[in-house]
Amino acid sequence: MTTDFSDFSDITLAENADPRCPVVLVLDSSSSMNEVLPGESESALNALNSGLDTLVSELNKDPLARRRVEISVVSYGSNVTPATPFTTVDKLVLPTLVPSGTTSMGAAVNVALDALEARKKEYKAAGIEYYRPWVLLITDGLPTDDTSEAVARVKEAESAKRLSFFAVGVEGADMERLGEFSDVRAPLKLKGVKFDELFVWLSASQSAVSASTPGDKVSLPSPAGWAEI
Amino acid sequence: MFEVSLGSIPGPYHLKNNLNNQDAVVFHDERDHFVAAIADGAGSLKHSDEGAYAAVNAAVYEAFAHVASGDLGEMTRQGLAAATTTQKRFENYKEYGSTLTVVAMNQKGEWAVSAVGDSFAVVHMNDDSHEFVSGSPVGEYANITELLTSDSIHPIHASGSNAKGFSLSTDGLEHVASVVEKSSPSGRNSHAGFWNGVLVRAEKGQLDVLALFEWLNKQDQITDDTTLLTVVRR
Repeated sequence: MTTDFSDFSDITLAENADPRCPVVLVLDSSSSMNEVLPGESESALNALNSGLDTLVSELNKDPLARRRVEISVVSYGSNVTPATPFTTVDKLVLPTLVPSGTTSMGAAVNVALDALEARKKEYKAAGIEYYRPWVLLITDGLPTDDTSEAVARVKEAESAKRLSFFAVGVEGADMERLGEFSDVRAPLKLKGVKFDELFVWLSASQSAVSASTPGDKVSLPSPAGWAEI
Repeated sequence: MFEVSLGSIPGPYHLKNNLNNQDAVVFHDERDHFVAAIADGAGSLKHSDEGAYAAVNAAVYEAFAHVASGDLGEMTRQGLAAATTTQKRFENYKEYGSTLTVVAMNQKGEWAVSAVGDSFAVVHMNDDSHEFVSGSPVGEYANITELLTSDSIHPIHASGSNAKGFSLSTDGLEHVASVVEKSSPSGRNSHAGFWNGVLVRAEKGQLDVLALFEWLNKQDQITDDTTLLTVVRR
């Protein structure tokens, strides 16, 4: 048998051994998110659902992010949904959020943190490297449950550099309460219902993280397009 | 004699932003010995391309200064030490940090590797197996590795015999050319399906590294500066 040395089809590539960037989206689907804000043409929840589609589409444009970013979603109203399985973007189908009741934010953040810890154990068991996980919390209201445990866990994880926590408040959100979660970064207030722009930013940020190289401190894009800063 | 195939290309992010390729590689053969060094400059550091270049040159020069000892392990250890000293001589030396892997091999097929950080060597053995040598991972996260300029470094040293050649690369190829193996000090092992194809071409003198990179690029697999040096004994 002869080998055609200009044809590399005999070479096999390792299966996806890429390091992973775990991200949990903690999304408020309380009834108030279904209201249309003054000056807007759709509800925050509709805009959020459409923004999630944008996130998947943007991340899919980046071949590296497509293999490395893994997303899980926790939505919360009166109840908290279980975290969806962490899935790489090339296989990701995000849920459509439906409005329901109050704002169980503390429980939702705890579910997200539990899911992250479980995922990290899976990475370690499989020998897969990973980047510092992200949690993105979105809300338009005041938490209706006890957030003290969740706040303490986020602060402890951030101070140990085990987590990057981002909080985004939609119009009506209690920014002071949101600010309790992190001593590292202040919550940002969304301009109107610019979820598309927020998720384009998240996608660009995760592209930067997933492409970062040894020793990198990753410079994130400015959130000025979607946040009131 | 030793036959070398070599290629290095900048990653898409560096191309887009008009940044230098931060990988550096150099090799030299003399007196039946072949020494090569590869370094990957840390992406966020201002002068890491210069640091990588200085490191590989210092490593190979110093390794050959010890060739008379006939001790390949001593050659790579001294090469690595010289590269570390060289980078730390720069003013603001933390801005010059890179990984480094140094390999020495003689005409008898004896070999030695010294490494800091996640650039790696794959030693191709006479029985067609491959030995993967890379620095130890540092801390919890994937984008952290040891650099020569790190406050403390933990070099990996390995040596052996019965090699017909070796390859050197940086982490740009790691995701297609290595597999997870927790028992290994680096947490990785070589992916034979990749290296067998590389070796069969190198042994026939027909390894076109840039064509290989072009083939990988068509599959969206070139995501970072990517460098490959493969050498076989004749």
